[in-house]
Amino acid sequence: MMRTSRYLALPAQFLLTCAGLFLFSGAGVLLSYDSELVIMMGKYIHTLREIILQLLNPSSIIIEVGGTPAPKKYPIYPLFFQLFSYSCLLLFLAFLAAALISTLLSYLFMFLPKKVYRLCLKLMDLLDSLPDVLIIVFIQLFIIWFFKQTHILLFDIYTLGEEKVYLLPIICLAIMPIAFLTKNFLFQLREEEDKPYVEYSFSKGFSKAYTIWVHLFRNVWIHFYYHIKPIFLLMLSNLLIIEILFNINGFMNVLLDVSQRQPSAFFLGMLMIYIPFFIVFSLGSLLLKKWLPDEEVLS
Amino acid sequence: MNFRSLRLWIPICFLLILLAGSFILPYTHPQLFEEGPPYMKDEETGRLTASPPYTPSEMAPMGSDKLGRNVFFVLIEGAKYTLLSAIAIALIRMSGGFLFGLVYAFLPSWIRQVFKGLGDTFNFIPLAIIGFVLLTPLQRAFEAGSLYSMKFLFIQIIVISIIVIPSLGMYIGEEMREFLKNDFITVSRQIGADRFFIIKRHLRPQFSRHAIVMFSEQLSQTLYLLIQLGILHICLGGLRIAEFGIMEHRPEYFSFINDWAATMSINIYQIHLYPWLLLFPLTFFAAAIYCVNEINSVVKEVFLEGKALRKRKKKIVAQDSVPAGIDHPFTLTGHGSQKENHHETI
Repeated sequence: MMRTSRYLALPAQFLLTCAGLFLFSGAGVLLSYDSELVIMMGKYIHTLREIILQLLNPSSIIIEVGGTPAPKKYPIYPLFFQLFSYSCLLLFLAFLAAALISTLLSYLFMFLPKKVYRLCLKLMDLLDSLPDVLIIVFIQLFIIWFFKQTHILLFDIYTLGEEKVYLLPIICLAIMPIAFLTKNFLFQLREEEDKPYVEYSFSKGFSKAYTIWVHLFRNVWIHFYYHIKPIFLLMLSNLLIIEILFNINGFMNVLLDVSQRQPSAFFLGMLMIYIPFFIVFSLGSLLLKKWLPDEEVLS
Repeated sequence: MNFRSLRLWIPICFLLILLAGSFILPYTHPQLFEEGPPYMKDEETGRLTASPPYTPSEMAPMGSDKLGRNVFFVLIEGAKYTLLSAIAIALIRMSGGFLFGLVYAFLPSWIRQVFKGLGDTFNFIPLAIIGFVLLTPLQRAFEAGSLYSMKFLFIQIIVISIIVIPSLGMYIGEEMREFLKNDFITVSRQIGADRFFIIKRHLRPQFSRHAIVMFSEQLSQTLYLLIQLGILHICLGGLRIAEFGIMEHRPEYFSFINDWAATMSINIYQIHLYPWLLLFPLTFFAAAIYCVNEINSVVKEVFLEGKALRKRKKKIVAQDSVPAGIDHPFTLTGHGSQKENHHETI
């Protein structure tokens, strides 16, 4: 009995979350105001019904992009997916970079003398409390300043028209996760450090570098799984801000545009974000269950 | 006064002084908050040297905005709205979250699964987008003039609080469930304690300590969210739009209450022309968030890890001395909420 319910739990959760996204996609018409705050239940249900009708005939969905006076109209099919693949690539590369850099950073931190280590932790705390917007603005201003000083334009700051920038958004996107991950890695490393198997490894004569890299990190990486979800959300909201501040016509920007005007496209867009992540996350949880059969793996 | 209590009191004092200044200064020195001179003249030659917005070097300490008002005082004036709203939002979130969590912890398992699935929705949409979707119609109503600033502020506080309550409540509920698995609660149940007794006796003391920590966490998260919403032109108290373009579309935004996010949001596209109009509001935010984080880390040490604020007490309950971590059946492994699953693979 437990077995079957466990196998059913995953698809059930998937369907429920999809339903949640569906319910949310119509939320743009929920609140309204004329002389008093009104919750427009009737209009909301009407919108939901319209979404279903439009989804049955997806080629009819037209998305409007751009400024209020003269929005450009596109059919949903090629545009949405092109933008999605671009934004997804940014996310993925930034995530990869963040994971690698924070692993290296936290590894190197472990060899610092105690005082410098403390100082670095303080710096990390400081970096963590800087709003992401401030960091992005700083980077923009720095590039301008650098350009004025040396006449070398490090990166294109704004995108105009169809061209795509990669490096700068990826750097901006990776900074917050690096701070977050490094902090968490260091916390976990410190917890693991006191455990007897570390002492055992030292007593067998293995070096600190080897022990930390092979034994400690193996345990720390498992915790990585628990951080994926918050990091993903963090990066998504960062991506939104980066696309707005750098004027990138990316997926999140269009999603924002569409959220008011075209609820059905909004719903599709959210599904497109959710489904790949769901697949990755459930695969991770399955692997982890196989790896650590007797642990309770949260999903 | 030792180091740790200083670390707690300095940020609190800073925030309180900011708040007090924000309330008192407009009454005692109203001239500081008026619009500045329409231009600046060189005393000797009589030539015009500057017009608003003044740079920080022309108008100390932080320059002025387009109306010539001193940005520093605009920010000071806005501090009360930003900080108090953030505190109110965090408070509503906490109380709603705990109510939701309590209900959630005692629900039958299948309903909990349903909630979990539905609530997971909020893990895939950035909060800023959720807030944007819900508040944009109201912002339009505000632009049209059918809504007052204070009323809009009130509605915004409620909405921004409510969108977090499901996920926060589920998080708290899971923690509670974990805590309810403790042996002493099973025993307590066996001797006949009902739900309300358990809530009163066991959950309340445990989670009132948690609540203080979570409150400060929510506070800093709210401040982050306010910045992000500001980028989307959803600001506390609303933004009025005036059309400045003659042939083209060039809206200028105005805020009535000048909260920090609004001051930043108004000038978001002028970053290269007048960077100080963007940097200083963000610096105020950063300072406030840093203070709250600092308070949070001290509070966490004191309430969750049991370190004393003043002096170390002599009696220390050996809570963390879990031998070897291997499943030792006869060890009390502290509280269930002492967090995180420990995996050991040697």
